[in-house]
Amino acid sequence: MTRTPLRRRLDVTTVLAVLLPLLTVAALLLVRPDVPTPGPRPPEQTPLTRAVAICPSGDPEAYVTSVSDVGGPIDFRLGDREGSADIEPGRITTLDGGDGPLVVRADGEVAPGLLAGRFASPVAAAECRAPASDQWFTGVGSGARHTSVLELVNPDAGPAVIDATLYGVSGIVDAPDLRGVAVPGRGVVRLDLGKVIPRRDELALHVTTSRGRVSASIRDRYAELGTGGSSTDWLGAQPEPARSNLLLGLAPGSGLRTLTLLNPGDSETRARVQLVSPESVFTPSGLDEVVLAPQSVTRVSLSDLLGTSAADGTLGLLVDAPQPITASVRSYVARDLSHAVSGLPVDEATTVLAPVGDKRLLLAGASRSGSVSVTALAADGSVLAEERTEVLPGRGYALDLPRRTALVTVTPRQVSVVASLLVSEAEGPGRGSTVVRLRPQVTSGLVASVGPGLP
Amino acid sequence: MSAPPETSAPTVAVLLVSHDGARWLPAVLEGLAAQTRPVDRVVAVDTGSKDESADLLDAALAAQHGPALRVPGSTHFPAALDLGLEQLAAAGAPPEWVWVLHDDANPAPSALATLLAAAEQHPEADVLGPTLREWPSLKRLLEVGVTISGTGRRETGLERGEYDQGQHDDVRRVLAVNTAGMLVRRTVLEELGGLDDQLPIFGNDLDFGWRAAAAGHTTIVVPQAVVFHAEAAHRGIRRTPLTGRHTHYQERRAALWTLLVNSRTRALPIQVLRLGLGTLLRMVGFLLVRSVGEALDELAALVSVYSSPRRVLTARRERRQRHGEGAADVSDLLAPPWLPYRHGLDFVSDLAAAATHQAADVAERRRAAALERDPSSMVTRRPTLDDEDAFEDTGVVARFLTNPIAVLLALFVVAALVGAREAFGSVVGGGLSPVPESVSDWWGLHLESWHALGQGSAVPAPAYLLPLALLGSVLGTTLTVSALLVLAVPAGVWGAWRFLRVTGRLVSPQGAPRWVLLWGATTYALVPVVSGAWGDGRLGPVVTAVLLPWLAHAALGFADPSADRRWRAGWRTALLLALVSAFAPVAWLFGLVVGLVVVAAAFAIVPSAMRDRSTWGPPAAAVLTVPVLLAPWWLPSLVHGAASGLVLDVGRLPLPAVDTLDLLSGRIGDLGAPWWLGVLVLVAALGALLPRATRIPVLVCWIVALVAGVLAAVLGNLTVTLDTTTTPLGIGFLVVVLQGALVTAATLGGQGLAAATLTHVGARRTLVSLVAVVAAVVPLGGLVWFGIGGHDGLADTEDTDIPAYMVQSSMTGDEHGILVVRGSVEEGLDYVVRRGDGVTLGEDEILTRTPEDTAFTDLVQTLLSRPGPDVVDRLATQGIEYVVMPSPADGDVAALLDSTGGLVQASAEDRETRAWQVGRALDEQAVEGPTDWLHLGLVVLQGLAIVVVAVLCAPTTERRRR
Repeated sequence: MTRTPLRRRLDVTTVLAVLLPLLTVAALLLVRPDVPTPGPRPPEQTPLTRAVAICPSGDPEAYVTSVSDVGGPIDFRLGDREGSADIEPGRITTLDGGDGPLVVRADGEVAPGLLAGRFASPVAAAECRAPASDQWFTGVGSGARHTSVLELVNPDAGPAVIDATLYGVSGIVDAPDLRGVAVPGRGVVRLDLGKVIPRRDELALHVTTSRGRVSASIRDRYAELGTGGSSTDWLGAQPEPARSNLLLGLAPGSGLRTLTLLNPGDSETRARVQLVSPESVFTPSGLDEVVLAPQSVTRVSLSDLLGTSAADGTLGLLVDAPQPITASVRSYVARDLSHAVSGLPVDEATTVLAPVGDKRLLLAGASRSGSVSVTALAADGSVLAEERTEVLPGRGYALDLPRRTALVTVTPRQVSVVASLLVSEAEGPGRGSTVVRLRPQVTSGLVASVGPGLP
Repeated sequence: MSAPPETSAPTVAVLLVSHDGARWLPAVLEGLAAQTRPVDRVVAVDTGSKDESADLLDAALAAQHGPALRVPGSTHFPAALDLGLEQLAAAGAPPEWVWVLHDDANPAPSALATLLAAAEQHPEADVLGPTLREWPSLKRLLEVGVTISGTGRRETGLERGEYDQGQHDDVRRVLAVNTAGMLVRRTVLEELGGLDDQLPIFGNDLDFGWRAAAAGHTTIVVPQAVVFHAEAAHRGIRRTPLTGRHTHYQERRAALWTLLVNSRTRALPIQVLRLGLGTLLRMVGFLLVRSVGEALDELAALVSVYSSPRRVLTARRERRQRHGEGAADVSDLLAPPWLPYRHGLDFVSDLAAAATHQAADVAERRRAAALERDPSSMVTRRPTLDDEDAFEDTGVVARFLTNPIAVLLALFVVAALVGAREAFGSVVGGGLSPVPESVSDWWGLHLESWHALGQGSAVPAPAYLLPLALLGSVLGTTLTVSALLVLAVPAGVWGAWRFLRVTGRLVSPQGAPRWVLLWGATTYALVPVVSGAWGDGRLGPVVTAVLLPWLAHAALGFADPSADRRWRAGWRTALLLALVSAFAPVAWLFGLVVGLVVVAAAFAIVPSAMRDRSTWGPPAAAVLTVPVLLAPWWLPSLVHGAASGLVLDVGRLPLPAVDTLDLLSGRIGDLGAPWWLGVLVLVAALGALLPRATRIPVLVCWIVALVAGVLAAVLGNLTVTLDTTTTPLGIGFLVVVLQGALVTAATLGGQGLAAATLTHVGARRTLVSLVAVVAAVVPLGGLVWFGIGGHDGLADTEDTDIPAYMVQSSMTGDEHGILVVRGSVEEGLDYVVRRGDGVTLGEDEILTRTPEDTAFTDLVQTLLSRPGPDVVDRLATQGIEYVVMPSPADGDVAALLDSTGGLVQASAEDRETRAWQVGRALDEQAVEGPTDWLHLGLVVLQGLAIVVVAVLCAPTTERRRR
């Protein structure tokens, strides 16, 4: 039997039956849609055209200046007095009118340079800032020994409303009187926490603005029971909880020193407390990790630890935690109250007004090795000192400035540092200390990227 | 005066009127001469015949009765009758009876005798009529007495072409009898003034009968008397200056006239209204069957009668004077009032049946054409009936229950309805916006050239709003969208079944086995659901999946052997392609490419056939008509910078991105069934290439798939960057087409496999069973997945974050806009202006395609970064009443707005949502815009085009009497 070779001609339909599906699938394989996912559209930085600075009630006098190259007119309301004045670069203008809060406005090219300051005697310094929607005050009291007054200033014509959350050592404290607090247009509301919600424990306060703009500040008072001695100072606000909190500025001498920590998170965390000295940042012996319960305030007494080391040159504390927390140190030394609150890193030139007293500029928390220039000006604008210092991470620096210094400008070069000015008066009626934080100077405003959205 | 006793039998005179009747006259005259009861006198009147009619009359009658009366051609029938009467009177001894005959009415020999006998039996009868039978067929009945319906229709009570089998043999009273063969007492004829001069040719018999009845005379029909009638004038065989070319006009005019001048006074106003509206309705009917001439005749007749009310009133007055106030009631003699509605229903159902069936038998017609060419051809062998087809004549229920396919289909539909439960009632979500409260919103969007949306837009409304508005006018808006979604699968299975059955029959005379059809139809019907388009509320793929089988079905008509049917298929395809393109704009592009490929291939394969214009013309017409049918959307989109809308799917943006696996497995978006279910269809379509018998049609399906694939490869990689977002092009339709092509290929392959298996036993059968089981997984799996539910992103309502009182305020006017701002300063802020009832179905497409109003964006940016009183003033002039930042509002921006003079803080249910009222008077003209006459013209063009194409694609029905 022979088998004929099968030479079947390749059928057209067979060829197509192979070819068409292959071509179809090949065409479909080319489909790779590349649809960009819409990313964030960052805002644009533009020079500030409208600035407002608010100082809490204090001494009848307040000080304003321009830290930019441009001077010009400003409007202000100090207590009950409304007026306008001119500010000049490098020169301090004194406003007086009353002990009520100060609201200063600057429009146009003057706006970026507006800087205000207010002090009290015995030496104390308030922070004059623009209104903020979120402010954290750690280490507030409402008892007989330690009590605080919350002052709310509304610079605008419309009403404003704030909500304050009060944290205690065992969690959030129910304080209905602090919820939905209305501040009338151009009005001030003062809440004495001792009267609103008397408590004996350490507290922390989170103030949020739900309507309008409000500047909140805390005036803290510490009284020695029995001896009749007492002292007040302002407690600075922290804009948001942070994992790393650098508290610079411990009043010299020995006394009561209390570290107050707030864990606003929902879970427990641990904080490590280190001391910052010119040589290093180190964990002192005898100070274990601090366990922070959720949504609670924890008080750590550092009186024993710092009783001696402040004299040894401890500049401040570094508190680290895996979750964001807030922190402050209250020092009651030589019958004077002062606070060191979490500092804000600055990477560009910033200026602060200083009260009368011996001045020491504290620097730490350098992000890398770099240099910082420091200029000290007198009230009339004359340069008293100009220094340049190299900074390294993990070290602290202290620079003594001339006593006459009224304006301190810190200019970091390719580095960001945390800086505080420790002002002390050893003698006289104004005896005491205060800490003035250097904050980033707001010279530009954010203009959001605005576009039509999907219906 | 008394008649002589020997002539006690009544005298009868014949009045014969002729006009160009030489064709029939010899027979008529013969018939007259052959009467068993001879007539006493004959008066013939010839109205200016151009043929030898008058001579014929003279030749036959002049000797005995004198020459025919020759009068001019303009003399109409009533006048001719009057002249005849005058001549009778002039000759003296007027007869008792007058027998009217036409030149095309041939009496049977016994006709006169029977009529006179009946007159004797029924002495009350004054008018008698014979049975009229068709001439020359002689058997079919034309009239056994007539009456008129309320709409003016001449009612004979006979079926068309009914044979005279003695079924109407009772002498009975009727309203009127035809003048052809009418025996009437001369006195009555004279008393009533003869026929109405206003009715020259048609309808004068009805009017006469009515007047006679009203005057108390009796008209009877004597069925045993027979006259054969050619109806020459009615059928247009004979044209006279009086009938003109428009016999329908004359008939209709006569009907209107008769009704208006004879109806009772109290019924007159309603009759006027009814006839006017009825005429419009009848015109639509005539247009539907492409009888444009008759439609215009209808209108002309109405205008002619209605434009001379004085003549009507005069005629009514004459009638009133003639029979006084005591007119007899004729309502018993008129047609029953329900009759017109029954005729209307018959017409509509005839039309619907014709429309739905006209494409179904393309396979049969091709086979018949092949049979004509080559009677011995194999393909022409008639299929033998399946066992399944040979139903015994049992009850419907028994037939249904004993048919497993029917039961399974019913279960499938029920399961699909259960799966679609989320879409019952109000439905929104995914790509589907809520519907507006009233359908007038949809009409407004479609008709208006300027929309008060956002900051005002001239971008045209999407094309699918017109079909939605039409449907919504009947169902309401909520039910329309709900019905589209709920009925998607049942409608899909219906269309797919019909399409696959016809394709199966095109391939082989036996067609596809029903089990294979069931698989194909159910698998395809589930495509919109398992693709995820249904769950994402994507109307485009859902509706196009339902329409695609019908479109393909219509396109099969291009293969019809008859050129006329090919053209009709072209128009039908155009209409359906336009409808599909309205819901999925890419469909037109696809149609264009497929058309080019098919026509090019046809030119290559059969160049001779393609030289015929009726071969390539219909597909070309189908594709090129679509832009005209969608003109109000198409052209303004290009003009107003919204051309991207021509390649985007309908619904909310961004559209789901479709990648390779999606296309292969038939998925759109992320809400589809498991992808491997779809891949099984692909495997089945690949396997379908194996059976040799059906390989060529399967290859055709693959060509379609290839075209869709190439188009997808081109379009699928492109994106469109609009001002609001970046979105891929809308190729959901191509996914549907791919699935359709694959399912069709698999079905045809199954058909080939089944045919091949019939001749084999053993291992091969086992293999086929295995394939069948695996294939069944696809529809079953899809159905179970859908039935379980919970895969969709649909809901009943949607939270808008806007306080209710603001929405209420915004409903009061277009200028009460709400500026909604979302986002943060860090991430960027987006704004939307909400007006009226918010963004509803059909408005997304306008808003997203509208170019950004950069001046307004700058205003919003200033408002959100450096607000001042001047900004607030400008907001008011732009028609913004509220500014809302839904939760979570950016605190910094909110603080800024709080501090702005002129903005008043407003409340919101949610504390995190911030809102402000613009404390200025709003500008009422804020969002008003110009009227674009181009758009209006295009809307009119579209309406006309739709009517014309609809008429062109409608089946022709022959409603004229033969």
